[in-house]
Amino acid sequence: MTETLPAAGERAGPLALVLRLLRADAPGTVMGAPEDWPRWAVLLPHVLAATTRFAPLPGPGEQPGRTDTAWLLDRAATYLQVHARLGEARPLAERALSITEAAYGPDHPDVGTRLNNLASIWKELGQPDQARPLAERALSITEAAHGPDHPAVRIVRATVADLTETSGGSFRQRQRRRQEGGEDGGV
Amino acid sequence: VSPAAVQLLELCAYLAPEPIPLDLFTGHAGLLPEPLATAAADVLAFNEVIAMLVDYSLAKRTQAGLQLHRLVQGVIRARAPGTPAGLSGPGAS
Repeated sequence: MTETLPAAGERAGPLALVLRLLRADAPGTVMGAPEDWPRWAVLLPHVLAATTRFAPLPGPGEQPGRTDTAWLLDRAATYLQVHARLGEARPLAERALSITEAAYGPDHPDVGTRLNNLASIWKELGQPDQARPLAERALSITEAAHGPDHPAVRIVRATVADLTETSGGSFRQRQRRRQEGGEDGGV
Repeated sequence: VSPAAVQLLELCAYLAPEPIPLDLFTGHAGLLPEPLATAAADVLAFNEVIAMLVDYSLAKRTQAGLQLHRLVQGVIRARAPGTPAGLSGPGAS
């Protein structure tokens, strides 16, 4: 799931500039990409320091550093997740999600990505009931944005299927019910 | 302290008090404000900028990169809250 790098703000302050540098530097794959990990090990304290200092303004609209912060938090969460530091990963993934939702609204594909990644962390924490609604919402958003055959959709569908197996639940039935009832299935 | 050194200091103030890899700057010189951008694109010039911070005891240089004390970072952030990074440069007025 790639995201384009937004243009740098002309008058961005030092914090926004630092966030931009970190985002430009940090490798984005992380999951299944051990070659990304040594650089992340070096950058992680700096990513945590800079993203902690970033204070998002309420409401949508342009704010220097906001999308970089959300991306860095999401990638830092995944780095911690693959190193079994799930307790540290979860709050970062939650913050990435809330910043992305505030910036783009609830139906943006990036929100789907964040939801999927948070669901994956909840699942590994042994909390499939926390994970499932997030993954299902991620699937709805990602399918609506990309159509059924996009690689991003396949990733989210795998997360949902994984959760359904874990719990023996029936996501398809609930999804059908939700569609028939016209419910949006929001979390 | 040169304007480029001040700009570098302001950026480092928002990072952790751990060693900062120098290629975070030299590898992305195009994202930096002037005059730091020009300095970061040239190894010798960037070394001079760093040497200046070390001479003033504002930072120390380790094998892993440039490291600032958290108190130094705090003072710099308090000095210029939300100041655009380019403002300290000569061309910003």
